[in-house]
Amino acid sequence: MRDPGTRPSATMMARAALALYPPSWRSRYGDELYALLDESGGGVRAIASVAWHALPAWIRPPRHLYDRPARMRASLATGLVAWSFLVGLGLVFAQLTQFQGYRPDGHPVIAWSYLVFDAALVLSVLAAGLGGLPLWLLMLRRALVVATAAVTAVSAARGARAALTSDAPGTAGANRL
Amino acid sequence: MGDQLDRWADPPLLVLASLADEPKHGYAITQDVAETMGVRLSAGTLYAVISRLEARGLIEPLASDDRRRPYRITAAGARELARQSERMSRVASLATERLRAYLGWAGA
Repeated sequence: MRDPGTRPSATMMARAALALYPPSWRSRYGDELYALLDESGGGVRAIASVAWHALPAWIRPPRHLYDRPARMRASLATGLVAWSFLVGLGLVFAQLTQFQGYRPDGHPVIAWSYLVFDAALVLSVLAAGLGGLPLWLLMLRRALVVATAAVTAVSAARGARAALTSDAPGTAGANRL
Repeated sequence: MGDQLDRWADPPLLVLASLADEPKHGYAITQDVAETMGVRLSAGTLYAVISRLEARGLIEPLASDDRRRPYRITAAGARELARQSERMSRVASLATERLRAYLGWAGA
Protein backbone atom coordinates (compact mmCIF):
# COMPACT_ATOMS: atom_id res chain seq x y z
CA MET A 1 0.00 0.00 0.00
CA ARG A 2 3.04 2.25 0.21
CA ASP A 3 4.10 1.72 -3.37
CA PRO A 4 3.91 4.84 -5.46
CA GLY A 5 1.66 3.06 -7.94
CA THR A 6 -0.86 1.98 -5.36
CA ARG A 7 -4.10 3.87 -5.38
CA PRO A 8 -4.72 6.01 -2.30
CA SER A 9 -8.28 4.68 -2.17
CA ALA A 10 -6.94 1.12 -1.68
CA THR A 11 -4.81 2.31 1.22
CA MET A 12 -7.78 4.03 2.77
CA MET A 13 -9.97 0.96 2.29
CA ALA A 14 -7.32 -1.27 3.87
CA ARG A 15 -7.05 1.05 6.86
CA ALA A 16 -10.83 1.23 7.15
CA ALA A 17 -11.07 -2.58 7.05
CA LEU A 18 -8.42 -2.93 9.76
CA ALA A 19 -10.21 -0.34 11.89
CA LEU A 20 -13.14 -2.76 12.11
CA TYR A 21 -11.13 -5.16 14.27
CA PRO A 22 -10.99 -5.09 18.08
CA PRO A 23 -8.14 -2.86 19.34
CA SER A 24 -6.19 -5.72 20.92
CA TRP A 25 -6.40 -7.77 17.71
CA ARG A 26 -5.36 -4.75 15.68
CA SER A 27 -2.38 -3.95 17.87
CA ARG A 28 -1.18 -7.56 17.67
CA TYR A 29 -1.78 -8.39 13.99
CA GLY A 30 -2.60 -5.06 12.33
CA ASP A 31 0.90 -4.26 11.04
CA GLU A 32 1.46 -7.77 9.74
CA LEU A 33 -1.87 -7.87 7.97
CA TYR A 34 -1.24 -4.47 6.47
CA ALA A 35 2.19 -5.66 5.28
CA LEU A 36 0.55 -8.70 3.68
CA LEU A 37 -1.98 -6.51 1.87
CA ASP A 38 0.91 -4.32 0.84
CA GLU A 39 2.93 -7.19 -0.62
CA SER A 40 0.04 -8.96 -2.26
CA GLY A 41 -1.16 -5.78 -3.92
CA GLY A 42 -4.34 -5.44 -1.88
CA GLY A 43 -7.36 -5.46 -4.14
CA VAL A 44 -11.01 -5.12 -3.35
CA ARG A 45 -11.52 -8.85 -2.72
CA ALA A 46 -8.61 -9.05 -0.28
CA ILE A 47 -9.79 -5.98 1.60
CA ALA A 48 -13.37 -7.28 1.65
CA SER A 49 -12.08 -10.53 3.13
CA VAL A 50 -10.23 -8.60 5.83
CA ALA A 51 -13.38 -6.63 6.63
CA TRP A 52 -15.53 -9.77 6.74
CA HIS A 53 -13.24 -11.55 9.21
CA ALA A 54 -13.49 -8.62 11.63
CA LEU A 55 -16.90 -9.93 12.70
CA PRO A 56 -15.69 -13.28 14.13
CA ALA A 57 -12.76 -11.44 15.71
CA TRP A 58 -15.32 -9.56 17.81
CA ILE A 59 -17.72 -12.44 18.39
CA ARG A 60 -15.14 -15.12 19.19
CA PRO A 61 -11.91 -13.34 20.09
CA PRO A 62 -8.69 -15.36 20.30
CA ARG A 63 -8.00 -16.42 23.87
CA HIS A 64 -4.44 -15.16 24.06
CA LEU A 65 -5.50 -11.57 23.34
CA TYR A 66 -8.06 -11.16 26.12
CA ASP A 67 -8.42 -11.36 29.87
CA ARG A 68 -11.49 -13.59 29.88
CA PRO A 69 -12.63 -12.91 33.49
CA ALA A 70 -12.35 -9.17 32.91
CA ARG A 71 -14.30 -9.51 29.67
CA MET A 72 -17.03 -11.46 31.47
CA ARG A 73 -17.21 -8.92 34.29
CA ALA A 74 -17.49 -6.08 31.79
CA SER A 75 -20.26 -7.89 29.90
CA LEU A 76 -22.22 -8.60 33.09
CA ALA A 77 -21.84 -5.07 34.36
CA THR A 78 -22.94 -3.64 31.02
CA GLY A 79 -25.95 -5.96 30.96
CA LEU A 80 -27.03 -4.98 34.46
CA VAL A 81 -26.64 -1.26 33.82
CA ALA A 82 -28.61 -1.54 30.58
CA TRP A 83 -31.36 -3.55 32.29
CA SER A 84 -31.58 -1.08 35.19
CA PHE A 85 -31.83 1.79 32.73
CA LEU A 86 -34.61 0.02 30.85
CA VAL A 87 -36.48 -0.67 34.08
CA GLY A 88 -36.09 2.97 35.15
CA LEU A 89 -37.61 4.08 31.88
CA GLY A 90 -40.46 1.61 32.38
CA LEU A 91 -41.18 2.95 35.85
CA VAL A 92 -41.15 6.53 34.61
CA PHE A 93 -43.52 5.57 31.81
CA ALA A 94 -45.86 3.83 34.27
CA GLN A 95 -45.91 6.81 36.62
CA LEU A 96 -46.46 9.27 33.80
CA THR A 97 -49.38 7.33 32.39
CA GLN A 98 -50.88 6.96 35.86
CA PHE A 99 -50.83 10.70 36.50
CA GLN A 100 -51.83 11.84 33.05
CA GLY A 101 -55.33 10.56 33.29
CA TYR A 102 -54.78 7.46 31.14
CA ARG A 103 -55.56 5.14 33.99
CA PRO A 104 -59.27 4.55 34.49
CA ASP A 105 -59.37 4.26 38.27
CA GLY A 106 -62.74 2.73 38.22
CA HIS A 107 -61.52 -0.48 36.63
CA PRO A 108 -59.89 -2.77 39.19
CA VAL A 109 -58.12 -5.01 36.64
CA ILE A 110 -56.24 -2.11 35.08
CA ALA A 111 -55.41 -0.65 38.52
CA TRP A 112 -53.94 -3.96 39.64
CA SER A 113 -52.06 -4.45 36.42
CA TYR A 114 -50.14 -1.22 37.09
CA LEU A 115 -49.17 -2.48 40.54
CA VAL A 116 -48.07 -5.83 39.13
CA PHE A 117 -46.05 -4.05 36.43
CA ASP A 118 -44.27 -1.83 38.97
CA ALA A 119 -43.58 -4.73 41.34
CA ALA A 120 -42.21 -6.90 38.51
CA LEU A 121 -39.82 -4.16 37.40
CA VAL A 122 -38.51 -3.56 40.91
CA LEU A 123 -38.16 -7.28 41.60
CA SER A 124 -36.23 -7.81 38.36
CA VAL A 125 -33.71 -5.12 39.26
CA LEU A 126 -33.35 -6.54 42.77
CA ALA A 127 -32.84 -10.05 41.38
CA ALA A 128 -30.22 -8.83 38.92
CA GLY A 129 -28.48 -6.75 41.60
CA LEU A 130 -28.45 -9.52 44.21
CA GLY A 131 -27.40 -12.09 41.61
CA GLY A 132 -24.47 -9.88 40.69
CA LEU A 133 -23.52 -9.17 44.31
CA PRO A 134 -20.33 -11.27 44.20
CA LEU A 135 -19.41 -9.45 41.02
CA TRP A 136 -20.02 -6.02 42.58
CA LEU A 137 -18.00 -6.90 45.67
CA LEU A 138 -15.12 -8.13 43.55
CA MET A 139 -15.16 -5.00 41.41
CA LEU A 140 -15.36 -2.81 44.53
CA ARG A 141 -12.41 -4.63 46.11
CA ARG A 142 -10.30 -4.20 42.98
CA ALA A 143 -11.27 -0.55 42.69
CA LEU A 144 -10.24 -0.01 46.33
CA VAL A 145 -6.88 -1.67 45.70
CA VAL A 146 -6.26 0.55 42.68
CA ALA A 147 -7.37 3.67 44.57
CA THR A 148 -5.16 2.81 47.56
CA ALA A 149 -2.17 2.27 45.29
CA ALA A 150 -2.80 5.60 43.57
CA VAL A 151 -3.10 7.47 46.89
CA THR A 152 0.08 5.82 48.18
CA ALA A 153 1.97 6.74 45.02
CA VAL A 154 0.80 10.36 45.22
CA SER A 155 1.74 10.57 48.92
CA ALA A 156 5.17 9.10 48.24
CA ALA A 157 5.73 11.54 45.40
CA ARG A 158 4.75 14.47 47.59
CA GLY A 159 7.03 13.24 50.40
CA ALA A 160 9.95 12.86 48.02
CA ARG A 161 9.33 16.30 46.59
CA ALA A 162 9.19 17.84 50.06
CA ALA A 163 12.43 16.09 51.04
CA LEU A 164 14.19 17.31 47.90
CA THR A 165 12.96 20.84 48.46
CA SER A 166 14.15 20.92 52.10
CA ASP A 167 17.56 19.51 51.06
CA ALA A 168 18.12 22.16 48.40
CA PRO A 169 20.95 24.63 49.37
CA GLY A 170 18.91 27.78 48.90
CA THR A 171 16.05 26.38 50.90
CA ALA A 172 18.33 25.21 53.70
CA GLY A 173 19.74 28.71 53.98
CA ALA A 174 16.28 30.19 53.97
CA ASN A 175 15.24 27.81 56.71
CA ARG A 176 18.19 28.88 58.83
CA LEU A 177 17.24 32.52 58.38
CA MET B 1 -21.93 -30.70 -1.12
CA GLY B 2 -19.47 -28.07 -2.28
CA ASP B 3 -19.05 -26.76 1.25
CA GLN B 4 -18.33 -30.24 2.58
CA LEU B 5 -15.75 -30.92 -0.10
CA ASP B 6 -14.10 -27.60 0.69
CA ARG B 7 -13.29 -29.02 4.11
CA TRP B 8 -10.51 -30.93 2.39
CA ALA B 9 -8.77 -27.61 2.02
CA ASP B 10 -9.17 -26.70 5.67
CA PRO B 11 -7.14 -23.46 6.00
CA PRO B 12 -5.63 -24.28 9.44
CA LEU B 13 -4.22 -27.53 8.09
CA LEU B 14 -2.88 -25.78 5.01
CA VAL B 15 -1.10 -23.22 7.18
CA LEU B 16 0.32 -25.90 9.47
CA ALA B 17 1.51 -27.89 6.46
CA SER B 18 3.10 -24.80 4.99
CA LEU B 19 5.00 -24.09 8.21
CA ALA B 20 6.09 -27.72 8.64
CA ASP B 21 9.38 -27.30 6.81
CA GLU B 22 10.48 -23.82 7.87
CA PRO B 23 9.19 -20.59 9.46
CA LYS B 24 7.36 -18.24 7.13
CA HIS B 25 5.65 -14.89 7.29
CA GLY B 26 2.14 -14.21 6.03
CA TYR B 27 2.92 -13.49 2.40
CA ALA B 28 5.28 -16.47 2.14
CA ILE B 29 2.55 -18.72 3.57
CA THR B 30 0.00 -17.58 1.00
CA GLN B 31 2.52 -18.04 -1.81
CA ASP B 32 3.55 -21.49 -0.60
CA VAL B 33 -0.03 -22.68 -0.15
CA ALA B 34 -1.00 -21.38 -3.59
CA GLU B 35 2.00 -22.97 -5.33
CA THR B 36 2.12 -26.33 -3.59
CA MET B 37 -1.52 -26.95 -2.72
CA GLY B 38 -3.37 -24.86 -5.27
CA VAL B 39 -5.42 -22.94 -2.70
CA ARG B 40 -5.51 -19.17 -2.51
CA LEU B 41 -5.84 -17.98 1.08
CA SER B 42 -7.15 -14.45 1.38
CA ALA B 43 -5.48 -12.05 3.80
CA GLY B 44 -8.47 -12.05 6.15
CA THR B 45 -8.71 -15.84 6.21
CA LEU B 46 -4.98 -16.25 6.76
CA TYR B 47 -4.82 -13.97 9.79
CA ALA B 48 -8.01 -15.39 11.27
CA VAL B 49 -6.31 -18.80 11.05
CA ILE B 50 -2.99 -17.53 12.39
CA SER B 51 -4.66 -15.96 15.43
CA ARG B 52 -6.54 -19.22 16.18
CA LEU B 53 -3.48 -21.41 15.74
CA GLU B 54 -1.42 -19.12 17.94
CA ALA B 55 -4.13 -19.10 20.61
CA ARG B 56 -4.06 -22.92 20.64
CA GLY B 57 -0.28 -23.00 20.83
CA LEU B 58 0.08 -24.77 17.48
CA ILE B 59 2.26 -22.05 15.97
CA GLU B 60 4.37 -19.31 17.53
CA PRO B 61 5.65 -15.96 16.30
CA LEU B 62 9.35 -15.29 15.90
CA ALA B 63 11.14 -12.00 16.47
CA SER B 64 11.14 -9.72 13.48
CA ASP B 65 12.83 -6.49 12.48
CA ASP B 66 10.11 -5.35 10.13
CA ARG B 67 6.34 -5.57 9.87
CA ARG B 68 6.46 -9.09 8.43
CA ARG B 69 6.54 -11.39 11.44
CA PRO B 70 7.48 -15.01 10.70
CA TYR B 71 5.76 -17.94 12.40
CA ARG B 72 6.94 -21.46 13.10
CA ILE B 73 5.12 -24.63 13.97
CA THR B 74 5.34 -25.80 17.59
CA ALA B 75 5.73 -29.37 18.84
CA ALA B 76 1.99 -29.44 19.59
CA GLY B 77 1.30 -28.14 16.09
CA ALA B 78 3.50 -30.83 14.54
CA ARG B 79 1.66 -33.52 16.52
CA GLU B 80 -1.71 -32.15 15.43
CA LEU B 81 -0.60 -31.98 11.80
CA ALA B 82 0.70 -35.56 11.97
CA ARG B 83 -2.63 -36.73 13.44
CA GLN B 84 -4.66 -34.96 10.76
CA SER B 85 -2.32 -36.18 7.99
CA GLU B 86 -2.71 -39.74 9.20
CA ARG B 87 -6.50 -39.37 9.19
CA MET B 88 -6.55 -37.92 5.68
CA SER B 89 -4.15 -40.59 4.49
CA ARG B 90 -6.47 -43.32 5.79
CA VAL B 91 -9.43 -41.71 4.04
CA ALA B 92 -7.46 -41.38 0.79
CA SER B 93 -6.33 -45.02 0.93
CA LEU B 94 -9.83 -46.21 1.63
CA ALA B 95 -11.30 -44.08 -1.16
CA THR B 96 -8.69 -45.29 -3.66
CA GLU B 97 -9.22 -48.92 -2.72
CA ARG B 98 -13.00 -48.75 -3.00
CA LEU B 99 -12.92 -46.74 -6.22
CA ARG B 100 -10.64 -49.35 -7.72
CA ALA B 101 -13.13 -52.05 -6.83
CA TYR B 102 -16.13 -50.00 -7.97
CA LEU B 103 -14.85 -48.60 -11.23
CA GLY B 104 -11.97 -50.87 -12.00
CA TRP B 105 -9.88 -47.72 -11.62
CA ALA B 106 -6.12 -48.26 -11.52
CA GLY B 107 -5.57 -45.13 -9.50
CA ALA B 108 -2.70 -44.01 -11.70
